[in-house]
Amino acid sequence: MTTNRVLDVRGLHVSFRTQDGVVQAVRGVDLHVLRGETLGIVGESGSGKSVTQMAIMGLLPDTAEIRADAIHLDGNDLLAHDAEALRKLRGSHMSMIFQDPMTSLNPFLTLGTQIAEMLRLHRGLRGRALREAVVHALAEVQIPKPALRAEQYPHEFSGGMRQRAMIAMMLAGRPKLLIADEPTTALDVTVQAQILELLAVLQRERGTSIVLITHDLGVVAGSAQRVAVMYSGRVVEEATTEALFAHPSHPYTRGLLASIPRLDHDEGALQPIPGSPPDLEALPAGCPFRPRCSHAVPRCSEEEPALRSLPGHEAGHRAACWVDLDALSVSAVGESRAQP
Amino acid sequence: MSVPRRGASPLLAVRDLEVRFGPTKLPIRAVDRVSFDVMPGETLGLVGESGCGKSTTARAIVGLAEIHAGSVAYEGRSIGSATERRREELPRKVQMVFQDPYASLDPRMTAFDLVTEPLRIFGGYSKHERRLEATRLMLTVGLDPRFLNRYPHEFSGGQRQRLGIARALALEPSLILLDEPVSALDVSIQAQVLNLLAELRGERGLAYLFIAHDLAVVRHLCTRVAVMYLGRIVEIGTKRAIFESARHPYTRALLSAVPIPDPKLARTQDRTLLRGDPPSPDRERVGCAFASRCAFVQERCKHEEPQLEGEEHGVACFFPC
Repeated sequence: MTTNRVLDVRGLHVSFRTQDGVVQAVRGVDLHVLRGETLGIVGESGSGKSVTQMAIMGLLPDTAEIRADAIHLDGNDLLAHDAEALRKLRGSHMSMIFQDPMTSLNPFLTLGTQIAEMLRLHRGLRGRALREAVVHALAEVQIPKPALRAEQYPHEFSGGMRQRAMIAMMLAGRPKLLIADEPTTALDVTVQAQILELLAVLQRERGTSIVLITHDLGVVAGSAQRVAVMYSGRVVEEATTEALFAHPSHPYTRGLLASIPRLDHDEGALQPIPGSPPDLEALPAGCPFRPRCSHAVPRCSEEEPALRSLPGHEAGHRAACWVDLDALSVSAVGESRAQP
Repeated sequence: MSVPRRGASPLLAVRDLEVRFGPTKLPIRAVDRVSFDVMPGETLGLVGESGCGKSTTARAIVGLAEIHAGSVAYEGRSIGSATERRREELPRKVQMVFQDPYASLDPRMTAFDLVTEPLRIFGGYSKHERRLEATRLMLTVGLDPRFLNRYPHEFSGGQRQRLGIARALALEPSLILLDEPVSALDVSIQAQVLNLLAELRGERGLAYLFIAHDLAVVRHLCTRVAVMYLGRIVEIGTKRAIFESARHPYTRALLSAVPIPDPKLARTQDRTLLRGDPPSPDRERVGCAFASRCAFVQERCKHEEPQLEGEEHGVACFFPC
């Protein structure tokens, strides 16, 4: 394992047993996160982006079957950890924040009490030192009047303030890795900008690595150094943020970029990706994107492409596609996609 | 799609609309003296953050929220005011599409029932005519008419929103109020629905009142935009005026907060970070509603409330940018 990797996941599979059969939510995901970087994970509902992270955190229900070749977090082999050992790593080594902070906050306890619990468990603080650390934690996430706010309950906070409190709580144990699952999706755009800025500041100060799960390509462009694009339980493209936006190589990534309206200029008609994502219980043979792809060749329906390095692209830029899209111009991709 | 000419008569005229919730002593002014027109064939975007009153405005127009003061007129005829309740007379020509296609369609009705319910209610159609009409509507919104016997849960989110649109089209409206019609949808599906809305508008000369918090989507679809803050319109103008030369500090802050999906631009993006959250609408307001978060606030803003001024491009600010 390369030492500058805080998180290294190889060959992760997650499936759920349901009444209707087995749903393969994650099908062979390789991911790594470098020290101090933000990895953006982009994908639509059902792409497996959240399940992947929940599996790493050990937060999936018993109905989930998890298989992996390796999951390493900061030198710890998570596959060798039982539930109790994983619980100890949560908070101190890895933390997760969610779209809706209310689902992770206890409505019956003051924010101060909940943050104190983290500090007591993971940093062994007691008494006055503990009380001071609580106020300090709230102040660090720029909550005004932190001493007063520590005495208040979650319902007394606005959405943005709740997410700040959540970040304070999840960073209290000084984890190396923070997984943020759509942390700003429920927030207004002006508040979203504040929270993203706060995460960036905290990351600079502490060198925390962040996995930022989002459906918003704008959020990724502004906050992540690298991006993994997921589709149907697999990573289909991986690159630095610059490279991904400048030279998107998977037809799905290109399709996504062509289908979003832009604030900074007027575009003509949008070029949507036709169809909808496949049913995870009945994936098509071969590449799961094939039914929506306008570049499919016969091989695409026979064999699922693996993530591979792209010749002529910067190192680390990988895509899972049989077709060499570089041979086709971007405008050609657009034209063939014009029909909804 | 051009700017509506002054002098042409509006399809929808909203005047000093006020909607209040809560106790009469300390009401929440969800919509506070809002006025605007929607001209035939135009798409007016109503934007703002949660709680600004944009959805309540639409709900008041179609009679789903009680009007406290002011009036709503369709083609010059009143369709709602505080004194008269004429909800039943809401013209068939005004229809609404809701945000959540999971919640706004009755799960026990088939696609056929859902799409033809407006025809059934307004009468005059035989079962056979409704069948034909249903097939036509399904094709119009890009759904396979063979799915008419299916229930909402058998459709994907994007398809459900198409059903909602088909239902709204059934009575051949000239104005559709669209309340966040694509925000519950995945990115790749959003574009499909936005294109459908643009096509329908082109083919049928529809006017839209398009409510959204996603400013990029609004820029894509709208011809004119009104920005709301705490129940009031703070700026209104053509798409160009709002997106290229916004004058209200709030509009500017809102635009600068939108993340741009381009890492090069994102790095150079000029961000005006707003402090805090919008104040609670239940407080008795003195001065400008935005004063507490405004970077350019002056003494006057704290005592006096600015009115929306300007014909084509209206701004409610004493010190516009």
